[in-house]
Amino acid sequence: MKSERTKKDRLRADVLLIAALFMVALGFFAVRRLSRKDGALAVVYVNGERTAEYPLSEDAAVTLHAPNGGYNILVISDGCADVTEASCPDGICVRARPAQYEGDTIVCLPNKTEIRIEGAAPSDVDLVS
Amino acid sequence: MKKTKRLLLLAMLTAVAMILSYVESLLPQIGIPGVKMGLANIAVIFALFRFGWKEAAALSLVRVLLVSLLFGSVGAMLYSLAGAVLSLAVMALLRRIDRFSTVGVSVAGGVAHNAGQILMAMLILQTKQLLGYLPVLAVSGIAGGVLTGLAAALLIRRIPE
Repeated sequence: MKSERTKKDRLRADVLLIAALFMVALGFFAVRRLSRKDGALAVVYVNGERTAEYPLSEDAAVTLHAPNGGYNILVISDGCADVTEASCPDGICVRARPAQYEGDTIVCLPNKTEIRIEGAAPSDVDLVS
Repeated sequence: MKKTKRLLLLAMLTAVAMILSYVESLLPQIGIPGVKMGLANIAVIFALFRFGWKEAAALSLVRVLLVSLLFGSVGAMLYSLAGAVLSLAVMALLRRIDRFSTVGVSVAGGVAHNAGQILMAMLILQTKQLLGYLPVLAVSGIAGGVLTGLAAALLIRRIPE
């Protein structure tokens, strides 16, 4: 291959490019990490409809009944919401990490139940929707 | 290079790319969907450096189409296509600038491939949450890009024009 640029030049350009991409990825990751906020409410959606909400500040254990007869047990402690037991066969919601930050979700597809962490202020989305 | 010989080489490269895709599908997955080495990119990079962006594009698109039909699903094809197109555009551009070796071009292509797939998934699923996934995939794209770039450099050196 003919090339006016030396191998060394190319190597330097490659390394710079890789370092730059790496920094961007790292920065992106850091920004998301730092900008996340503690949630205030654990909101339950069944079939996409908001059915209940529980403040994360109070410890609680509730059984959520799904329209298909199934259930999910939601436990709130230390500001985290976690599903500890459920009737669904796959148990993905039970194995999901406890939700704590705004936007975190725990989803149970078999029971069509979603637990979403939301902030304190009532969101305008609800006014619209 | 004679036209016939070029056509023959390209056809062989396409076959190689398909085999590489197949081999890659046999490798164990490490749990995160989308994390792949991108072995087939070795053939694409080779075509890009030996022939040009048009040939590389043809090879890549034919590969995506055939592999999706043979081993994958049409649903997954949209993601592959988005990744392949973005990756090709970035690699062709970097090749044009002519500052990087195959490794640099391949790394940028790998990351672009991941970005294309995520963008397509965001479009289809209508969710922004997936964007948080990009850094993970980008790092994997960088690692895979280095490996495939090195392999392509070796091939370009060893296979006479």
